[in-house]
Amino acid sequence: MVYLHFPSNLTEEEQMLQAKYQKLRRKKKALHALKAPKQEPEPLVPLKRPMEAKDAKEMAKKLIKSGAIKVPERPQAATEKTTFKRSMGLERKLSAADKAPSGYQPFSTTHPEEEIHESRVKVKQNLYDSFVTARDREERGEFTRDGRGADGKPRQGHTIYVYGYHISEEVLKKAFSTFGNIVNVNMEIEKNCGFVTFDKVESAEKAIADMNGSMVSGIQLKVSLARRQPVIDPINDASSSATWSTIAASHSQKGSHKDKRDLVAYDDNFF
Amino acid sequence: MSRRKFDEMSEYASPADSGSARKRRRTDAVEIEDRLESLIIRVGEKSTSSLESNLEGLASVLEADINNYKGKILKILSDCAVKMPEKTTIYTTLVGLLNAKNYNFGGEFVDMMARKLKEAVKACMWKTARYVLRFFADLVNCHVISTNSLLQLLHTFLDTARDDNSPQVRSDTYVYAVLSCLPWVGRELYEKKEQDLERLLKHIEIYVRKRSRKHMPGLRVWRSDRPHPQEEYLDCLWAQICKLRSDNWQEKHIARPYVAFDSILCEALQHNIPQITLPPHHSDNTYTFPWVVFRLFDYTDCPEGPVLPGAHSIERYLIEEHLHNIIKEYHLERKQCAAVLLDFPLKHKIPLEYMIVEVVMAELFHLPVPRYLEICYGSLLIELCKLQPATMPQVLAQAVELLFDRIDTMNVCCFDRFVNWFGYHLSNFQFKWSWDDWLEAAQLDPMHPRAKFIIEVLLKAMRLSYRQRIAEVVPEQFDCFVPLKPEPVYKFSIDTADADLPGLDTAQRLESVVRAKGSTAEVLQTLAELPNPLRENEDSEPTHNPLQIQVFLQTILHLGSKSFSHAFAGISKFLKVFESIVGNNEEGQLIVLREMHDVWSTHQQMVVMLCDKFLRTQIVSCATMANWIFSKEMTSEFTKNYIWEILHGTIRKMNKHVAKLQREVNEARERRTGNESDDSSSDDEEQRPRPSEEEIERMEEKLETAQADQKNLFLIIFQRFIMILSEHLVRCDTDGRDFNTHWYRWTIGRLHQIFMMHNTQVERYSQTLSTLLFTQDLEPHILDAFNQFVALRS
Repeated sequence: MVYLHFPSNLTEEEQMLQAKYQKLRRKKKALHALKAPKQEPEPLVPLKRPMEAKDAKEMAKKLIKSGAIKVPERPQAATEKTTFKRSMGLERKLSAADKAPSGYQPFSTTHPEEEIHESRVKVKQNLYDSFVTARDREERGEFTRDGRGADGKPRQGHTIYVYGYHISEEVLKKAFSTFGNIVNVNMEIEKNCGFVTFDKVESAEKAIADMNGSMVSGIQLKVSLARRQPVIDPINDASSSATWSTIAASHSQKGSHKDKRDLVAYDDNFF
Repeated sequence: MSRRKFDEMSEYASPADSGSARKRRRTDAVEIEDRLESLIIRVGEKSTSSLESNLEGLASVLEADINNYKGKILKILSDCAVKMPEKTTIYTTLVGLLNAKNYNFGGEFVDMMARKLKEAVKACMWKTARYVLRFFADLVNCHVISTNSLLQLLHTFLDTARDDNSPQVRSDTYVYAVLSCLPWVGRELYEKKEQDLERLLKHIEIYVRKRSRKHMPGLRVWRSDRPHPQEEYLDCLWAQICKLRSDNWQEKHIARPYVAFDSILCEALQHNIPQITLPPHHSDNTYTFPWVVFRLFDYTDCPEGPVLPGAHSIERYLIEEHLHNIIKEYHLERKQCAAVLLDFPLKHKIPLEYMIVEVVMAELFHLPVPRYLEICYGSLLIELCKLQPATMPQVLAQAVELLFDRIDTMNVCCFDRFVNWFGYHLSNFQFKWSWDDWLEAAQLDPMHPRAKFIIEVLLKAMRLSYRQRIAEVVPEQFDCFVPLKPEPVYKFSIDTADADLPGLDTAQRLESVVRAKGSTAEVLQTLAELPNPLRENEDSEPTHNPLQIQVFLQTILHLGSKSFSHAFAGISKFLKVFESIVGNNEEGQLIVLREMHDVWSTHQQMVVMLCDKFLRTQIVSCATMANWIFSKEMTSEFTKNYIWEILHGTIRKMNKHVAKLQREVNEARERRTGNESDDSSSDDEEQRPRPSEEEIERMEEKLETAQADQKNLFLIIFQRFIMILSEHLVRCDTDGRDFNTHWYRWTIGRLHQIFMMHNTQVERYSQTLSTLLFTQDLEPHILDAFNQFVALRS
């Protein structure tokens, strides 16, 4: 693959382009606002995220990808920028010895880059291996007794496990809504337990600390961190995303609904 | 898949392995062939050793076996070449290595592929033809085929643009094949034959510039070009190729294993592709419909992580094509499909979830019709969410928000599919959604696409759940959107009905007759006491008695109101009564539908099911159904989805009927002629008696009647459309109002939907339609819908 090395400082040209881009964006926005038809209550799709360039490098990368600007030819880069007929065989042979484990990791949010600079391959690879195994162990719930993960840090998560004789969704919602915003509640009625997912890790921690062993509506509750903790970091501003994610991650997707309707009795069939 | 297989492969790679040689002698020929096949098919899958060493090993194994198994090897290789386009470069490398070792084998392979290409273009298998051409192109990179001979073939393809007597879709298909092989061979041509390449591109450019785009408006998912321009597929690929050219033909997506073997391959001798003449256009030929490229995301939508390739970068095209191919390959197995999609080879370099969602949505919204059942995409998306819960649901939620934002200009066909998919998806996610974000829609005109979307989604959700639950899930501001409680209204109810309502007594009596399990005769007897309000004097005998039908329908549906099954049982039991009091009378059939709708006006699904039942039992004819939908009483329902569900169901039923009769006639004819030519009749034919000439004639008559009915149905539908649309336009014109209202856009969209969904059947009558209904003097807005449909095939 082609590696472009960007100097950490921006060249004058890049700075100018960046300024120009921002200006164009402001203009486009203004134009957008002008053009938006008045009778429509919502304007047509404003760009989803504000584009303040946190990182000029990223911005430049994006611009290049989108074809808005071209990379200025740099003499020292020319040797590195391989042409069409790059020797992939060589590259592969060199890295073939320590191939990354290619199994598919459903729960990993971050896939480490496969193609990395050669000298760093080994280090990264080891990192990746330990990362994966640690996650695997964690998912199977084989963390050490004191509740600490393999890396020594205390385990954290958004979802707590609640056990109590004949608890219901309503009871859980009432009891735990004081600790924070509840994203989702999943019940396993037949096992007398349920899972409550908060939007913040702190809420989950506080709920465990305060509620474990306490009585709610005459039921003694056992509260602990849920074993399965799917990592859900909001990646966009769609507000339903967290809910959908928790439901998708839980095994019993439909099990928790309780039908509150009355049973309908049918007459004799006279047809 | 399994590790053992790969070890076998590396076994071959080690040159001195006497053990495996002995084993080979023991196994019989079939086993070796199977083994070769599995080796060839699996090369390039994940393996412990590098692809290059696997290819090298495989090439030497095949070389040793070429003499004994040449036919088989050729066949497997040529099949792989067209059936696994994502591995094109792997197989071209393999062929290149074999050609370097055995020149004759290379020649035979090229001949075989040329035969495949000829057969493909003759049989209108355009995808196969495109992949063969691409394979040839990549064989140039492997020094199997000479550059000149490829250029010649490409020009042959381009020459179809000069045929004046063939439709544009034909030349489009060939030009598309040429364009889509350029990412593979562009660089090679650019280095070796720059001028020839430029000449080729000039030809394409001229063609792309002058071609007509009349079909385009009908194939767009959105009317608006903001935020993403809606591009026709050939225009888009041309722009992507132009961008590739300006990058000096360097792309970063295609893996090219042959580069490693350059020293071996460059010494090989090259072949020429045998001369291929393309068959001329024939009226029976079918070509791929053009399409408009679906764009949902751009790089600003994807947060941190890899950047989404731009709309005009060739990578976007290559990745999308690959994802589409994966869906095609695994669409019957949703779990596997989701796993393969998420395991995309270049997943670290692209925002994969975004590209997958865009591609799946593109298939779901594809016009005129999606490639597979809509539920196939819905279930695939759920599997994707389960497999990648950390990211997939979030990307999907973002997609829904974008689609909702842009729904104002969405094509009505796609609107329906969006509603159905979203309702289905919600039903798998406990109907949880950030409904509060959409509160503003409650203030809108109920005909506004956003308000309508929410109304229809809740209706769909109710079908998959129940009203009470839906009412609890949505915020109270949406009370205006929550469907009414589905309850029957019985006109002759003793508690509510006016005492002197005509027929009240008879209805009461009829109810007790039915409850007492009365027979058809008893029911008819009870109904006979009703006077006929149509009778004016003693002499005239009206064709039907509206009061009878009214009393009967209301009572039957009231008694069968508990469930679908109850209602169906009631109708089935008294089919004879329907026959006797309604018969073939259209007025009578209309009353049946009207009364049914009066009883169940709050229960759309029941109405849909009952309409279906009436058609199946032939109580109501397809034509009457269409007339009822366009009738005055249904005006308030006209823009609701369920009405169109009924109409499309009606058309589909008619089409299926005609297709079935057509099949029967064809079969009978085949059996007859087949028997005459073939003396030794097999057992199979003896069992089925040969149809006589009269029998076939009778079947043909039946088919002709059915076809006449079908034609009549389409004529009715289109005529009613023209009537209401023209009326609207004229009234707006005289009142000085803008005609472009929500109602107008829904209605014209529905007209367009009929053309799209049933295009194959309507096509048969397009000549009649253009002379009878869609004449040149028609209002241009209405005529446009017809012209867009005609342009699909022109």
